[in-house]
Amino acid sequence: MDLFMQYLITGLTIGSVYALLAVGFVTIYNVTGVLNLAQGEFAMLGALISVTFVQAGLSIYISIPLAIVCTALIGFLVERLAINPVKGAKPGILIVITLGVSIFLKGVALLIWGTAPKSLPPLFENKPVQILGAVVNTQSLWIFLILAIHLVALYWFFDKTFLGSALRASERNAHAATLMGINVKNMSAIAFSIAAALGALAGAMIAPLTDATYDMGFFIGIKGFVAMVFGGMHSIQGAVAGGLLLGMIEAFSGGYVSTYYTDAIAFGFLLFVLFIRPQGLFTKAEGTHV
Amino acid sequence: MKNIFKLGVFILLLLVLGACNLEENQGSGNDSENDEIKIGVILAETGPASTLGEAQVNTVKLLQKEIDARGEVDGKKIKLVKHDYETDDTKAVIAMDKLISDGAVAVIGATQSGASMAILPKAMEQKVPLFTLAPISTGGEYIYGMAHTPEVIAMPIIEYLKENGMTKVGWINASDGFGVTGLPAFEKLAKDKGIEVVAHEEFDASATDMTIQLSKIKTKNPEVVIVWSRTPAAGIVARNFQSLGFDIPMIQSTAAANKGFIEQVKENSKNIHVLGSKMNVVEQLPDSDMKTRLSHFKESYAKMFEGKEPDLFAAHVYDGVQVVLQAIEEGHHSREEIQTYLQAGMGDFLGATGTFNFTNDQMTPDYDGITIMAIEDGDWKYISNGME
Repeated sequence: MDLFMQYLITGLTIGSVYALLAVGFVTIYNVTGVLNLAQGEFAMLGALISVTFVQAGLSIYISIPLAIVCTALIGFLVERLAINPVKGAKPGILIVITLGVSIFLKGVALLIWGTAPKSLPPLFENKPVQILGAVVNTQSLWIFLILAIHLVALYWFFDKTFLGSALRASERNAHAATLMGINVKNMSAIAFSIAAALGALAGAMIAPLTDATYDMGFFIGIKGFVAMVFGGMHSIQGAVAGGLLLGMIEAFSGGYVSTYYTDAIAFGFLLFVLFIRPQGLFTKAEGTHV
Repeated sequence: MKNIFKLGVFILLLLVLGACNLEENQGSGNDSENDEIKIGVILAETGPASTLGEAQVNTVKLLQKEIDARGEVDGKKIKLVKHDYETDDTKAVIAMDKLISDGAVAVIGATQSGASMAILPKAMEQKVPLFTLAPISTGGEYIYGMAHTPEVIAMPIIEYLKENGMTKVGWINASDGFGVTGLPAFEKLAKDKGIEVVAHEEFDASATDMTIQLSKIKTKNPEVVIVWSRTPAAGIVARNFQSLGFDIPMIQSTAAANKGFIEQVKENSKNIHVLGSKMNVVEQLPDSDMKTRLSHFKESYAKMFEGKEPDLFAAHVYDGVQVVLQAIEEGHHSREEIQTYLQAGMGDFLGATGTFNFTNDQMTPDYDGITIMAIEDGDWKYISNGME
């Protein structure tokens, strides 16, 4: 029983990290239709820039917001310099561009921060607590809280505000949105900035648990992407559920089967999902309006 | 017409280049007659492995400076010829060919295991003593390993366990190239000593949480947990280990013996031990020949490179060059003479990473250069491992 609870809690902890990443993926995908492979690198930048500010003597509560602003700015520049000039290109080309951006950002981070892992202090004193016999880091609880805030805030933003509706409209039908007076080009830049900010927040939240390195983005980026696919690409709620599900699959297969096959089982499950429900586990299949 | 003109210019250029090359070769030919001995060094100065190669390149600069300050060795000028193989095995082989044709008496390289294995056949074929800087799986005539084999690295752990009467080991490692080398070597040694591996778990080298693996290990009640992984995963394991409230020692591999790892665990480093070079704790060592040698290397390196510290990778270069220098000093100036000397006349050689005896074992130094360290106040703390 002790072990079961520990696996469950660990699965949720790992899953919440994937979920945070997945939310950023969905945000860009929903607005621009681009699969941003550099999303993991935004998390890396958020974590490492926070570390730099903390080392410069700033408080953690100032460092993280500053890092988020810096990363959002980088996201904006990425969109202006790399995505915008080829607007209208096929999705495949755009994806390859984001892959290039990801490699570029990783290279720059290697030059600036080196290879040694950097640690970031947690938001609050990080004494692990016991829940039903299982050990939980307090930082994980904060990650859950942030995740919950994401869900509510992004729902409100995309469904209830004008800017949010404009963002969604530009992806659904860019031409019609333009006719309605929406500047689609600006929307794309805004989406990249928001996604970069979300990524940076995710990075800064998980850094106290995993430490920050220049190459941390790839692994969590892949896992975040898988979480997004589980959830059906378009839905933020689905991505969060997908992230938590992926974390739990990993934890329980590691715990009860073998830790050697964790990834094989998780990705095997992904293939299974794609065969059975290619539209994702948590969304209804929908046709396109004609 | 234009094309013929272009072709003419091209051929002319080729001829000029060829002539330059010829001259250069003649020049170097004259040099060696002028009593200069060349020692080749093949390092990853650029490319992904440059993180390891950087300190090695510095060491070559430091050694050349020391050699120049010393003047002639046994009547000969000595030149370290350094080639950057750009973390590309093919370029390492090209560099090796160049060094052999330039008449290098010995070659030190390469930074990684893969590149070392790639240049190894050339050394055996051309009968050039080669000092590899990374662990290699097979050796041969003329091949000398400067880096410790996994078996040798596991020895101080066995000593530590024996000394503390521990027999039940929980083992956890990364599933990458480095991570999987530890356990087979350890088990081979542990069997005779009555030490048993009661739990074994693996994790992906880039994973972000190892709580599951450690929880499973905990149920088997080991007396010590041994970790074989690079950072940052090594530090995450240590952190999860503390969160789960283990009350037994943890021993980490040599891959964790760096500042990055200390940075990761400094908040709570109770019970955490790391296997590392004695160079990390040289100030705390009891007086010995090794201490003198290590502190000389560490201090002169820090002086030349603004307070930076040499690492184990740098020490391998240092040892390789020192072995060849000693051979030359004793009057052995050709490849064949050096090889004979290493095999017969040299005896024990005290290096920065341990004692070498090439008659007994060409693949590795002894384990007297590595030790188990604790972490105290964000710095390494020397623990005698019963060898003094």
